[in-house]
Amino acid sequence: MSVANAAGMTLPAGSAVDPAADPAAAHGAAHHQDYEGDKTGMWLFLFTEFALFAALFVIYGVYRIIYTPEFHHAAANLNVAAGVTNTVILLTSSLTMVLAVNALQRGENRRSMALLWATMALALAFMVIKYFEWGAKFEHGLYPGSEHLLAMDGGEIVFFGLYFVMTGLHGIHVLLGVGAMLFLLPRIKSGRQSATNYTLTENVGLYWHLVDVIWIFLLPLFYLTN
Amino acid sequence: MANQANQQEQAARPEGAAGTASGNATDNITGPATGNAAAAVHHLLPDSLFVAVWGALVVLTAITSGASVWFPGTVGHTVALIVTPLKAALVLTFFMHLKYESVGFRAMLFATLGIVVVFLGLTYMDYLYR
Repeated sequence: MSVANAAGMTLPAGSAVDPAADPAAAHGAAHHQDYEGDKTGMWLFLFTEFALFAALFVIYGVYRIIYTPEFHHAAANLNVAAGVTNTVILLTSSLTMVLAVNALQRGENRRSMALLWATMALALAFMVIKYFEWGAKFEHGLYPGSEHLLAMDGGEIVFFGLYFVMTGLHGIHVLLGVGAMLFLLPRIKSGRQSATNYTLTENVGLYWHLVDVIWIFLLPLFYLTN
Repeated sequence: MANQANQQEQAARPEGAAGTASGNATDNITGPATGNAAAAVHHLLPDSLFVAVWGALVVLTAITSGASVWFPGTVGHTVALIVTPLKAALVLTFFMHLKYESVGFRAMLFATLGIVVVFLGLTYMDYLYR
């Protein structure tokens, strides 16, 4: 990074350096931000995340075919209002995220940071609702391996198992997203992320939107299945 | 404001150049003078576009939730089956900028989606018709 930056910095000043004569310098200057490369890497990572959840969707689909009535019965225990509220919260956080990227690209670093804080606040609200939702399940004796759960039908055990694994894995992703934003904030504040160098911010945004997309699928699979 | 308009103009101009920006030596030599490759590739979009997309997403969420609460069963499930991929597509197209990226990114996404769809389809066929 520092080598590439140095090449980029010296080129405009030392105009005597002919980029064509020095392929290494030209390469350094032109690629000090490899936009396509950075983006490709991020998308490939997102595909692996997508594949991770897709495998769980396949498991869900197969068991739903085998245990259709049990799945519908078990889903009635879930709090639809909590699921829908969390969907709207996450959609809104996606909006603040994309606006934060947009603000940075216009050179409005302070606005970008404020929007990132808003995104993190919404992520926190999502996790708080999740906490109370899971807490209520635990109070009713519904948690993996509980006596109450194990006394239920096979299909219902599978439903709640998938519910805890998939929403739990998604929750971990939400927390990782907040971590990525906390990593980003000082870089926007110091100007290392700016209107001309924003790929990292965009990639954090991409990650956050993927977390949103996964939740968009989790909503009908678990909450809207009665 | 003038600066913003200028940036938008600059961003909108090299539509066709976006795909060839990387790896094109003649383009790259002028890079330091006219701005970096990222600025050439990127399209600055108005905030209002994203607010509109967000509004559509919230409305679609209301439609699926409403359908499943008031018309549980086949109608609710059918609506969810149609609306949910639509919502995901909106996020991917606008929030994740796929509409404004080069063809390669879209090709990668469709390849991945295709594999998942085939995998899901074959698995379901197996379980539904065995």
